[in-house]
Amino acid sequence: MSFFVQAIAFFIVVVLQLAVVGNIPLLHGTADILLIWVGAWALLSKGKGAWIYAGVAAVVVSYISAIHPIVPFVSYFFVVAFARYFQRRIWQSPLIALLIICFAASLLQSGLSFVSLVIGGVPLDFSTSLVQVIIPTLFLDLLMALPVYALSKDMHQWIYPYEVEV
Amino acid sequence: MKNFSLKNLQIMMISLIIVGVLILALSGFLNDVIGKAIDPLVGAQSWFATRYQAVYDFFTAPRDVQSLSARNAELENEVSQLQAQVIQLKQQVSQTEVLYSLLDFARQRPENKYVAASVIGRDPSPFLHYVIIDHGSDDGIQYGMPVVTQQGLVGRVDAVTASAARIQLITDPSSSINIRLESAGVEGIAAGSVTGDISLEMVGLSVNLNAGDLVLTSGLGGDFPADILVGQLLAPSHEQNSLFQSAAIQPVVDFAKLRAVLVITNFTPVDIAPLTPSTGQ
Repeated sequence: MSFFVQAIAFFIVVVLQLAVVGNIPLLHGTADILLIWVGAWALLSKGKGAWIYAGVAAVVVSYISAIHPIVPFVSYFFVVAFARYFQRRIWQSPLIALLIICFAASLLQSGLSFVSLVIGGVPLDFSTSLVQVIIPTLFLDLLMALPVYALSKDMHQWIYPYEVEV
Repeated sequence: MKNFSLKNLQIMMISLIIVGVLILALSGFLNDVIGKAIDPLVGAQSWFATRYQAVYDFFTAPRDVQSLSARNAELENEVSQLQAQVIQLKQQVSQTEVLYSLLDFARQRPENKYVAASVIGRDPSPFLHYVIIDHGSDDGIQYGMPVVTQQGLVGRVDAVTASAARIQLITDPSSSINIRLESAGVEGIAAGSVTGDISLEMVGLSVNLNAGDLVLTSGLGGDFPADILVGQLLAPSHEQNSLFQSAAIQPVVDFAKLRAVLVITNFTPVDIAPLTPSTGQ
């Protein structure tokens, strides 16, 4: 049951990313709600599910996007690893943890994308990329972290109801 | 006999009086008298009717408000349904207009074969300018095929699956296409950028560039058919000590509102990579 719900939620997030979020740019940056979703799920869950989520997300994005596959793989596994680290440290404030995770993962993803494209021979200007793409993307990712976290938390609570101590 | 005569005389007199009054009434001589006699009656009737109507309204108004509010809700519901229908029809009209314009474009160039496709997504990476369309190799789309709209050049097919394809737009930073300036008659390269702007490159300093010149594909390199409109030249400039002039190109296609495209399926791009000398040699 939980597998199907997670699969459907994942499918919806991918469709939203491709059809809606990708069409709402700030300057030339766009949010990556799949990255935020994986990060939020990694913060909320405790099993291996988040790693599987990251793997599937990386495979899907590698298949859909023209970016080098190493970028989504490193980004999505990094976000889960970072989330697990924060889960052990400041687990009482997951929202702050998610914002920090989103910031770091978004920065890493943008940086890796830039480096991979430059290595691939694409002439990119760093200052233009920073101002027009990387910083707006960071801002949008942080902005989208709040609703995405709320939705993922509700879904997680629905699938795995919290135990109430009597 | 005497009684009979008197009785008849009375009847005759009464009949004459009645006939006379009738004649006077019909001829209008008694209007004032009748008016003065009827006015109090009319006044009383009017007073009574007004009060009766007020009392009737007082007792029946709540029932009317209920029925009116129910009717109002019904009409509002109908209006919202009609508005939804209008929105749907407007969307259909705009889609139809796009398809008609694509069809017109295809008819103007009968030498090419086209596959029309809808744009269903964009690349998740903000550094790249790619779109995903809903037709793939099952519809005859292959890697490298040019993609256009009724306005002009969009890009080329970059990756294909059975039912979808990924299109690299001409605004992508790794895109560079061979172009020709229509009025100047010279060739150059139109290169995309991370911001989606297209710039003219590799045009010598001796060429006289004018703003507004049409930019067309040259067909060199075998990537695109010749003479597809790319855009218009904006603000040419050349920096000191530079070998080439540069200029911004205003694309004719609005890439932010790209909804439907045409893939030219009978154009096979030429792969000239084996003919290009590598740097290691």
